Parts: sequence; C-alpha cells; structure tokens
Amino acid sequence: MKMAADDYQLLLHLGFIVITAATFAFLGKLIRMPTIVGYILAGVVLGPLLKLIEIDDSLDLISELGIALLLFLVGLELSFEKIKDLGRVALILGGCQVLLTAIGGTLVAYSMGFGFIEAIFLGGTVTFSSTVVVIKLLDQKGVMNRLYARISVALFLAQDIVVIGALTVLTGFGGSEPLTPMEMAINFSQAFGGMALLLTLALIAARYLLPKPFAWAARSPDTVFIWALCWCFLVVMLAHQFHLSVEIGAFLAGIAIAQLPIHEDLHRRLHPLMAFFIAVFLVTLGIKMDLSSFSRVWPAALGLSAFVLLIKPLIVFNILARIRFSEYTAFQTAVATGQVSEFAFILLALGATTGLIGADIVALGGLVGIITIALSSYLIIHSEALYRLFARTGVLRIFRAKQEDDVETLLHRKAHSIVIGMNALGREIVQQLTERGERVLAIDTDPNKLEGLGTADILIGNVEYQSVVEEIGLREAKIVVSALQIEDTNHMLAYRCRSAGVPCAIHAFDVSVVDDLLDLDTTYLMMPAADGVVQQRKLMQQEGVFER
Amino acid sequence: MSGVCILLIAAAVAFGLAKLLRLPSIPLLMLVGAVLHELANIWEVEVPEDLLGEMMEIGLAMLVFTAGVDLSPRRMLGRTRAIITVATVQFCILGLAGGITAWALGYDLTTALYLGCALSASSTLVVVRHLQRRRQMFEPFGRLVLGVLLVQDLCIILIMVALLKAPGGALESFFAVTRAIGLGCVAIGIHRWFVPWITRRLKLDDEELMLGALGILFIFSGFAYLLKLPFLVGAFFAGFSISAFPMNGLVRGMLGSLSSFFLALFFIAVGASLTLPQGDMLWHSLIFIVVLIIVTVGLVSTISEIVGYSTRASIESGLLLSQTSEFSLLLALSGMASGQISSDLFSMIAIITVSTMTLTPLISREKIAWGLMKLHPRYRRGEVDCENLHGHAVLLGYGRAGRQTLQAFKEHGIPTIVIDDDAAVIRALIENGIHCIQGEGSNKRLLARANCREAKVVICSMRRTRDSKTALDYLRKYPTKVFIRTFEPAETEFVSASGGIPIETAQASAHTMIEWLDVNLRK
Repeated sequence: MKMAADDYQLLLHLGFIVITAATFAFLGKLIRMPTIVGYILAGVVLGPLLKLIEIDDSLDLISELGIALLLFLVGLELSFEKIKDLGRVALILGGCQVLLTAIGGTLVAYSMGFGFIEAIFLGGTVTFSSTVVVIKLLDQKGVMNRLYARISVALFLAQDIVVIGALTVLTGFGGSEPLTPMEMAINFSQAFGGMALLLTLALIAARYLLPKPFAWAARSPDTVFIWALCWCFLVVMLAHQFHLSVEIGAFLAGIAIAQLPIHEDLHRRLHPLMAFFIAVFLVTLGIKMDLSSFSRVWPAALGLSAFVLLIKPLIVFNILARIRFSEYTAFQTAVATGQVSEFAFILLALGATTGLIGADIVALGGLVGIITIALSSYLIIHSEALYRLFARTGVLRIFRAKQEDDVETLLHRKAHSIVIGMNALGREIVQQLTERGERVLAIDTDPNKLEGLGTADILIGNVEYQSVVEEIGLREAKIVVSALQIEDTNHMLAYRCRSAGVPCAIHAFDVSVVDDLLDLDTTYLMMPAADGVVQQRKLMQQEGVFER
Repeated sequence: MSGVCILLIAAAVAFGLAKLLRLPSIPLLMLVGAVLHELANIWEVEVPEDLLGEMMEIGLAMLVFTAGVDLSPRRMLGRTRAIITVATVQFCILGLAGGITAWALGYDLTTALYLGCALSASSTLVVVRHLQRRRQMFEPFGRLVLGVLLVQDLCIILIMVALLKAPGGALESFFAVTRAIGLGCVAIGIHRWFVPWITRRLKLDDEELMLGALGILFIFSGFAYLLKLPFLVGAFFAGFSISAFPMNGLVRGMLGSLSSFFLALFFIAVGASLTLPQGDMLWHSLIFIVVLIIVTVGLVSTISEIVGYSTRASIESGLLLSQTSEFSLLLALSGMASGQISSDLFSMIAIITVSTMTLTPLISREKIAWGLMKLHPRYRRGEVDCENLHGHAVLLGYGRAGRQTLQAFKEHGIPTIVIDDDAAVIRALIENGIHCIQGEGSNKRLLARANCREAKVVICSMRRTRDSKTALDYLRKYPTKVFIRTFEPAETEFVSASGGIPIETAQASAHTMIEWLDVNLRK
C-alpha cells in the first residue's frame, strides 16, 4: 500500500493541474477567455514549458473517465422523442459533412504540397470536430437544451461512428500484426453489430431493467448516484468488448437513464464530477502538446486552421439550410463545428505508428488543434453576438436558409412562486397558492413527494446546486418559500434570495435557527410551532376551554 | 478503466445493501471491499494495487477535506463551553480507557497509545449523515454533537502529527505540532477574512468555485508537505478554511459529488487492503467495542446533562457518538505506513471502526434512547397534589410550545400538570413550581395520577402522534377535551378519526404565511 509521502505521485500531479488550471481560469475571467482555453494553456505551461508533469496511466485514466462522463451526461438529456427527431439529421448532416469536409481538406492539404497519403490524413484530421470541447462550451453557455446543441451532438456522434471505422481500418493496416481483409471485416461487423446490440440493450434497460431499482433507490441520492455511474461504466466496458469507443458506450448508457424521472437530478449531481475530470483532460491535452516542431509547420497550420474555422462551418451551414433548418440554428450549429477533434490526434498518432506519415504531420495536427480549439472556443461562447452581426449585414441570406425560427419549447419562468420541500407545510402552501391562481413551481429531491400537486409545475432537484437555482428562475421569482427542515440549505436559499433581491419565506423549525435566518435578511419566517400555539388558542376559545 | 468499473460495481452493491438493511454505507463499502479481495484471491485474479493505492490517496484527501468543510465553528456559537467540556472529557477519558484496556490486554506502550487515540474520536461522516437523515442537525443535541466532532477532529489531527514524529523524540513531536498549529492559524485567517472577502468580491460559477476549493486543498496539502507534516493535516485545514458561510454552502453541491465518488472508492479500497485478524485479536476487538460503547454512552450522557442539556438530548448525544472515527483509520494507516504498528493492528482498528459504525444506526434508535431514559433517577416532587386537581389542564409532553401553552393557561387561571419523560425537563419544571409527573404520556397509570378524567383539557405534544391514542381511549367517555398537535395530514386524519381535536400546525403556518403574502407582496 502506498502511504509514504514520496509515493503521492498522482496527488502531486493533480495538485499542479488543479492549481494551475484554477489560476488560468481566474486570470482568464479577467480577459473573458473561455475556461477551456485557460485549461489547455495551463497544460502547455505544466508540460512543454516547465516540464513539471509527464502524462502517465493514472492521468490518462482520469481523462478517459471525464470523456465517458461527458457523453453520459449528453445521453442523459435525450429522451426517445428527441432521438427520433435527430436520427435523420445525424444521418444526412453527418454523412454529407464528413464526405465534403474530408474531400475539401484533402484537396487543400494536397494543394499545399503535401503527399497524397499525408493529404488524406490531414483531410481526416480537419473533418472531425471535438465532442468534448463543444459540449463543454455549450454546457457552460447553458444551451444544451437548444435545438442547435442537440443537432451538434447528433453530428458529433455520427462523426464518432466514422472515426471508429477509420481507426479499425488503420489498426488493420498497421498494427503489430496487420489484419487480413477477412479479419478487418469481422472487426467491422463486431463494431457495428455491437452498436446495434448496445442500442437494443439501452432500449430494454430503459423500459424494463432500470425503472424499478432506480425508483426504489430514489430517496437515497448517494445510491442513485453510484448506481448510475456503475451502469455507465458497465456499458462502456461492454462497448469496449465490441471495439467501440468510450464515448459511444457512455452515450448509450446515458440514453437509457434519460428515460427515468430522476434523470435531471442525476445530471446535476454528475455534472461536478464530469467538470473536474474534463478539466484534467483538457489540461493533459495541453501537456501533450509538442511545441518544438511548431516553428516548422506554422504556415501550413494557419492554412488548415482557416479551413477548419471557415470552410467546415460553411459546409455545415449549407447542409442544414438545405434540409430546412432556420438560419439561426444552422449558424449556431456551424459555429460549433469549427475545430478539430482529439480523435484527430489519435488518428495521426496511429498513422505515424504505421509509418504512413511523419512526425511533422503529427505536430501539424497538434498545432491546428490548439489554434482551432482556442479560437472556436471564443466563437462558440460569443456566437449569439456573432450571429446578430452577420444577420445585420445580410451576408447569410445567400445560403437561403429559412428565416423563421425553428419550433423549440423554451421554458422561461417569471413572476412565479417557488416552493421548496414537499412536506406537509410545503404541500399546503402549494395548494393554497395554486387555489389563488398563482404560478407555482414545486421542488423536491423525491419524485414521490411531487405527485398530486394539481396545476403546479414540478421539478426534481436539489437547490444546493447553482444549476438548479438558474433553472428555477430564482432571480425572477415573485417569492421563494422553503418548507425544508435542512438548516444549511435554508441558509443558502436565504443568502441567494438576498443576493437576487427576491423576497423569501423560510421554515424556522426551531428557535435556534431564527437568529441566523434574520441575519440573512429573510423576509418572512414560518414558525409552525408558534403558529400552532395561536391556532391552539383559537381552537380552545371555539371549544369553550378559554373564555373569549 | 476495468479496475474502476469493478470498484464501482462493488460500491453499487454496498450502497444497495446499505439501503436495504438501513445501515450506514461506510462499513458496507469496506466489507464489500474485503469480500472483493477474497474473491480475487480465490479466483487468483491480480489485484490492481496501483489503482487501489491511488484511490486511497485521493479518497483520503477528499475525506479529510470534506470533514473540514462540514465543521463550521459557527455551529458552536453560544455553546462553546458545553461543547469543549463534553469533547475534552470524552476524548481524554475514552482515550485513557482505550489505552488502559490495551495495556491490560498486553499491548506495548506505542500500540496502546495508538489504540487509545483511535478509540477516542467519533465519526464525523457517519454522525453528520445520520443527523441529516433524521433532520436533527438543528436540534440542540445535534449542534452539541457537531461541535464535539470538530474539537475531536482537531485533537486527533494534532495527536496524529505528534505520534508520527514520536520516533524522532519529544522535541520533534513538539515542533511538528507547533507547525501544524501554525498552519491551522493560517486556515483561521483565511476562514475569517480571505474567504468572506472573495465571496463578496467575485461572482464565481460552479466550476470556478470547485476549482478554487480544490486549489485551496492542494495548496494547503503542499504547505503541509513543505512543513514536513502529513498532507492530511493540510487537507483538513483547507476544508476548515472554506467552512465559513456562505462559501461552505456554495461549494457543498460541487464537492458533494466528487467526495461521494472518491469516498465510495476509498472505502472499497480500504476494505480490500484489510486482512482478517486471527484468534486473540478478534476477542480484543470485541472488548474494545464494548468498552467504547459503554464508556461513550455513560460519559457523554452524564456530562451533557451536567452542562445543561435535557436527558433525552444527552442520551442521544452519547448514543450517536459511540463509534470510532474515519480519522482512527487514517491514524492507523499512518501508523502502519511509518512502521509503528503492524498490519494486524491496522485491521483490528478497521474492524472496530466498521463494527461501531454499523452499530450506530441500531443503537441510536429512539427505542433505545427511551429505554435508557427509564434508567435515569426519577423526580417525584412535582407530583404532590396532582390527584386532587379538577378542571385543570394536562400537557402530555412539554414540547417546543410548552412554555407558551403554560403561559396561556396561567393567564386564564387554569392549573396545569405536565407529564414528560425527560428528567431534565421535569427538574426545571419543579424548580419553577409547576405540577409535573415524570414518565410517558401514553401510560394510563400516569394519566390517572394526573386525574385526566376530571381535567378540562388535555393537550398532546408527544413526539409520535400515535402515542396519544392511549389518552384518547382513556378519555373517550369523559367530557375532557383532547387537543393533539399534528404536522402531517395523515396525523390529522388519525386524530379526527380517534375523537381528538387536531391542532394542524402546518396548515396554520401556511395560512399565516399566505395572509402575510396577501398584505405585503400581492401587488
């Protein structure tokens, strides 16, 4: 067992990574730099510049866990209805985009003077977009429920399937023992048969296997949390058996859980874990950068980066415009595709291993990766302003995209009453408020307690999470009522309400909690014990115990 | 990846069992870890030592860090003297009892010291989760217990430093403890000034908060390393430094997921590293468990009542604190790593920890607390003349509203008798000259002694509404009106169906709040 101080290698690495990433994230905040860029820069500082960290198996494992969790969370947001909608788009958009970009990229590279095989590899490099980077940024923007975010995810997953095919072919060409065409065919059928099998498993699990156990454990958040993780990694392992990527396994595992009522709460609980692992992954991306060859390859890198940042989005925009998506949706999706994928690095590394390309091509791919990920992060974060700018000039009209907005149900809560904690007090307040025609949002972590609340909106969740606070529209609420008997959560609610200038009524279930709540400027204290005494007095007068 | 997957499957099984058996998850995680290790031996599968070691590294850091975040000193406000008295007495006497028992069982001085220290602290993780589940964090005894845990954790951290440096001599131990206290002072400074300042100045999102909190963890751990202290000392003080409100609340959601994940894997890894102690050591474990439970319950109950807590709260505190801490495991791990104790002794401490943690929900049940309350000496002075009262009021259970209710009856000139099973409450009532009977309000003999059938009114504020059934049955054919406080609709229905008059506190409170809303916010 490792207990001596010198053995704490992983902790030491994580320490450097977290402290540097936090420093860059805070500094980045000052110049409005996307955190993702900050993380990669932190990695460049820790790796190529200071050489403090070298990537080992443990950091690779953490990165892989992060990628799995990210895709699991993406799957968690997709109900079967949403998947049905996106299947067609994924097929058309994925097929056309991959084909056109790969051809375009190859031609560009060839015209720059690279050999044919090298041009094919570079064409492949610029074709795929980074699922991890884009989803992270869209998530940071809080737009994962928007149509363009879902289309982007569908496109990236279609790309993943193509990547799996490409990797299978490359492994066949250049592994330690090259595969025969027959073996390659077997690998292909294994991969695609496995995918079909996993999809079927996800469907069966969503309907028959998962609902009962998860409903049973619903009141124990830690159990649900660990079970969901266990399910995710089980499916990932199964996917691995079929030579499928971690991403596809995790995504399918997420889809199965997405059909359960607790999926939203689970998403919030898993999010911090994913954020931590993905931060480590992005820093390790920076650490892995080989800066020494960059001085030789930068002109070609600039050319290919321009292709990725301009031509690839144009291709996507054009395809989406032709399949009748609105200009807005097409633009936002197109902007999201303007970078290369981490898969490209694997593809190039495999190419180098097989001897098909040289080390300079790998370095070139890395530099294109840094440039496009960094720039597209800014573009994605500021895509709304960018769209307004382009829309004003009218330049987008030449693509003849639909001008009317796509049909999207976006929930925007305003002037509503939020009631948290569906115990007897909470339910009574919800009932009395709805009877008075108020728009009420009832929140609890237990789905069972949210049943039978009439016309009130309901949300399963824990208000300790900032994401829940944003989702419930606390800042625009008329009043926030907490019937909870959890002191810390009530303190946080009072604090958040004071910061947002929203009145709040908090359950002061014991005299000992009153002072702290008053210090937090709680607008109204609900004290059932004291109110009960008043009620008791009234009842005694009614019953003739006390004279009036 | 497959290693993590197997650990997660084991954790999933442990959590499922914990839910099914209503036991804390920590001992079950360790048990499942031990079973996993045995299965690996049977099937001759290679155990991924590196992965287990790494999970233990990160898990240790998260464990100590989150314990620090949970222990805000603000909870101690107004109770500092009581908390320090209870914590110090329990820590010292229990440590002494553990040490003497170890010495009597033939262990050498260093081992006896380790065993004494391991026994002296209670588990923050188990107790906090137990209090959260039973919604008792806010109750006076909940605050007492949390304060005691904070003091104990601090003590055990400092003792761990001293013990680890002991081979270098007393002076080295002293300087190491001084350095640890210095690091603690830095944490207090950050807790009091830096964290509130940063909370006011910067509006950080969830991810930045998490990175910031983890950054502080690693910075403190780094400082601890530079000061030649165990990194756990740094991790604990890092947690403490951000335990000030509102920072602790802001990061709790983010750190909660991380700690749930890593702690689950940590305890599985600890379980997998255990070896089953043989022969004598099993007996010794049992002896230590018995000593721990008897001494803790007796000692904490007595001291808590002396410093002013009710009998029930004192007994519940004693029951709740009667387990060893996760810090005991850390102490044993550190001792084993430094070669001061054997792996067998580490396993024995782990078994004591697993067993006492498993026993906690069983022995801290209400039924046991009530049983122990009956062992308390009775006070009979308040019972004088109770049987001669007529047209009086009887309060079954003093409850939270007891004082106001007594005041209301006094204003209307109605004499009152209180029946309550808490000796400390009865003692206070006797001092105020109020008629009172010590015992349960559901006891017919006591209802007769309070002359309930001749009473004008009976008010039930007992913890369980169903306990009032006896009073309702007893007074069914008599004109005495029986009022019963209820919170849940099911309780109200039960009372109405049984012939009582429910005082619906939740409904009353909701109604009052809506009235306030109408007046103040309707526009």
